Amino acid sequence: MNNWAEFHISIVYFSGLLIALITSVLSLLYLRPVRATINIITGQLATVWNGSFKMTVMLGGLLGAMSVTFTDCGGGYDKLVGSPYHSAIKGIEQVSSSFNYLAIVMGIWLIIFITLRLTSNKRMRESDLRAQAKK
Amino acid sequence: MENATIFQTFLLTLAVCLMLTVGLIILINKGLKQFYEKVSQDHDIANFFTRLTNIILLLGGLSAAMASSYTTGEDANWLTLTWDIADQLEESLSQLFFTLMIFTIAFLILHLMAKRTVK
Repeated sequence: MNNWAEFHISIVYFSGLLIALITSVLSLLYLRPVRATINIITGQLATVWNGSFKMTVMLGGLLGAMSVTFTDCGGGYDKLVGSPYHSAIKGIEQVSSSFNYLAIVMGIWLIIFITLRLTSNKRMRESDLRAQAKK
Repeated sequence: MENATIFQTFLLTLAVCLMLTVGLIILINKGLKQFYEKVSQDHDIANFFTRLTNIILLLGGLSAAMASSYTTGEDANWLTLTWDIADQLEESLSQLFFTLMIFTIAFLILHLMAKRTVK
């Protein structure tokens, strides 16, 4: 058993998870101000929408990274022991999967938010028309 | 061929894919902003949607570029390396292409919905 290599593999694995988490946080920071914008889009229950959005983005990134397994079909990891190159490739695969999950989660949220905005626009227009008719 | 050479080539091609993705984002950014401003009728919301789209494109392009695997060991030579580079670029570009096609169809539907809302 090569302890150094196994320790190295675990560092690569957890680095992948950390990069996924950092990417999720950076994505949310790039989207700032999230809360205020979601408040305008949703109107009602903004806290729930905001919490769900942030939570799913964070979980999506982490789940994507966790979905990549470092073991082979037999549950072994012999290929990675003593091979920093293969370990690094696995780590990159982990980050790639995390990015993929994040992109899918954000795409779904984009469609949800646009639909919500269009619906609220329609409602606002209808109430404006009703107010004009009353006058 | 050494694994270090293959890994360096992988990282270099990844950087090229990143530049291609960022270039594409810069190209479509202005049009996206205008579209979202028309759909949302709010500057802040349009900014939020544009940023969300930028992140989706960036992550999509990068994830595809990172997912490709290179031939290693005794089978690896300059020819397989060239094919692997082409594969990595192709994967990234095809992911961007499919993402943009999905966006185009979604935007068409949204445009029609927005038109109905304005009427």
